[in-house]
Amino acid sequence: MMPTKSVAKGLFVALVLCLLAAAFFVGLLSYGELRALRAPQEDSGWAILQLGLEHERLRFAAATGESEKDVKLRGEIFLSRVKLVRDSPIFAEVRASALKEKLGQLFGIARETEALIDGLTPATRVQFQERLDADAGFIRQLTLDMSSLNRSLLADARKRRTMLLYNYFIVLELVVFSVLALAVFALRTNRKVISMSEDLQRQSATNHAILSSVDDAIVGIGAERRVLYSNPKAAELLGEWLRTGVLPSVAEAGHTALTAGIIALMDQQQPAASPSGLTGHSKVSSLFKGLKRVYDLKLYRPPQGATGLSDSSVVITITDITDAEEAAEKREVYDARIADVSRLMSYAVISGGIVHEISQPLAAIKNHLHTLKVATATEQARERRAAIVDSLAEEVDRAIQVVRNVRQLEVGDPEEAGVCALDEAIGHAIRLVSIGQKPPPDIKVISDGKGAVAAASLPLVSQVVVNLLNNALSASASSGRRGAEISVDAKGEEAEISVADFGSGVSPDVAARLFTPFTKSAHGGMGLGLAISRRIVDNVGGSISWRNRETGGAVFTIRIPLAHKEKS
Amino acid sequence: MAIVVLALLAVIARPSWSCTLPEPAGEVILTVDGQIGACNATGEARFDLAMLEELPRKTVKSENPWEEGVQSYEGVLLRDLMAFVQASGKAASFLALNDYRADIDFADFERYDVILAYKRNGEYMPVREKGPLFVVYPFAERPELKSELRYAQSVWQVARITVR
Repeated sequence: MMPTKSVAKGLFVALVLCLLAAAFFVGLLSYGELRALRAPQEDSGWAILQLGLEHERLRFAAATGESEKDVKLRGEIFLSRVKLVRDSPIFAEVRASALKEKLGQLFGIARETEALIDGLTPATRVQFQERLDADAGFIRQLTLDMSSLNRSLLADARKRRTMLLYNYFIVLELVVFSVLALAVFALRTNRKVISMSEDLQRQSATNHAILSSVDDAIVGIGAERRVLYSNPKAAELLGEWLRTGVLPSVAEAGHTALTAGIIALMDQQQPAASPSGLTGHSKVSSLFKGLKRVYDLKLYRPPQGATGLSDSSVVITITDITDAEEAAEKREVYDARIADVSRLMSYAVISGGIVHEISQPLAAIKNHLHTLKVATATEQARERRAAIVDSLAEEVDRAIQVVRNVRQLEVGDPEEAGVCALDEAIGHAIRLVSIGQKPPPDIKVISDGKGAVAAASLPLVSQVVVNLLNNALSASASSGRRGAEISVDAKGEEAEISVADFGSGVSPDVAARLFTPFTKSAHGGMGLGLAISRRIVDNVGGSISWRNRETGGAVFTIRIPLAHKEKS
Repeated sequence: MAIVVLALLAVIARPSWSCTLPEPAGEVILTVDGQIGACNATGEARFDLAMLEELPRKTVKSENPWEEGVQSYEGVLLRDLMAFVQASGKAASFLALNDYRADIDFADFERYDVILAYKRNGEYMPVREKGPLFVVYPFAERPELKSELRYAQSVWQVARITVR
């Protein structure tokens, strides 16, 4: 569109300039001629008459016996007339006309007459007279011919003058037209006019687009709640009051919830804030043909001065979003189902590991029972039996813990969190780890966080610490070292429990899968421990992290929220 | 009685007394009559070529429809001539040899250098050359004078000037 517009504009200007140029040239061409015509014309007709007249007078003078002097004078006068015809510019056209030959004859006669006049004596007088008589008829006729020719030449001159005047009229009209055209053109290309018309175009295009949108119902409300315009969909939805042409100020009994929603939106609109003019938005459930539908109402107030509409007019769009709402509900249901499925998936994964986890304490229990049986049979010291029973109990606890922890993984709520003293938890964990280990593992407690109370139950905390300690001891052993270090740092809202090993640290490829269930590490051990530990710690609102130490080995740190110190 | 008659005669013969102009020696080519003061005949002032040539000369360039191109005319300024004959009228009427007549206001004599020419391009004009005397407007010097009126007033073959 734009290139064509520019081309059209260019052509138009070019055309106007051509017209002006044409006018200029016509004016130029005509001017010279008009000037010539406007120059005063000596009346050549009168001179022609004089020619004939003077010849007659000469004849008369010669015939009536006037003195030679007078005859000569008359002759001179006649000759001067002939010379006029012969030499004067005013007779140029006549000389060049069809009378050229006859004029040649006249000039011949004049020459002879001149000679006779110059040599006039009484003796030659008669001859002179006769000569004059002979020429008289010719001269008379010639005079008449010249007269009529002159008349027609004058008429032609008059016509030419009229034509030139016409030319000038044309030139004037061309100039005026060109000036007008340029003025109109200038006005049209005036930015203001263009932008105004573009604004109007845009506005009407917008209006058209809005109104022709079929899916949404659109209503325009003007001053005094009068309906300015509405589209067919709006008539469908709002039929009962739309036909009256006025939006009701209060929702009455017969009105739908949709109408009530519109009224409410109208009442609560504020001055336009957004550039689109959106000043009101609400969702309304309403019955339509007996079905429950959900509508999204939007109220637009056009920005100030943007259109020719008055300030109080607004546009309301009603979009039927029932389907969208249903889809959203379904999605929520699907989301829940997907979560369940993923839990079930992880159960499946976990159940295999449970067997592994349980088998350890169960095996230990079996050993202890056997030892107890032996001890009881052989009446060994009561203390020894008691110690074995204690160990048994601890192993049972451990087995129970495994189950509990798995349940933690599936349920995932912290309702069994409870509280515990960290130093007790650490001690319990160390004991658990040391069961059946000969020699007992070398676990150094750097600090036990005396007095700190964690917002998590003892079994949970000790399970996690046991897991970390076991991993650390395995890591150290695989590097030919023994033992682990544990330190507790209770500060502020959290307690940090760090377990360090003397192994070779966590390699990068293992690091990525560290917390993934059943990722077997190179130095054996539970593939489940860290996954469960992370789950437990997350559930109580803490976190677990690790890093490789510069001095060798890795250190795993769990952070657990501290409970309010109720114990002294 | 004789004194009365003499007085009457004086009154009657008055014109002869104020005619102080010399008589023309050569052929009379111009006669000025009408409301004039100077004269050399009864109510007339007659001039020959010599007398006109004695008056202050003026040369004007003119072009007119009867000649091709610009011509140089020499003659006496008409205002000078009118002053010479002590003209007391408002206009001069020019009569040509063929009885053509045209009038010119004295105001025009004052405004423009209108001359009564006796030479064209340095040569005297015979009658057949529109002489001996030609009323010439300075058309070449004053092109705005080129109009039908002035052309009609450019009388040639002037024989008589009557002051009115």
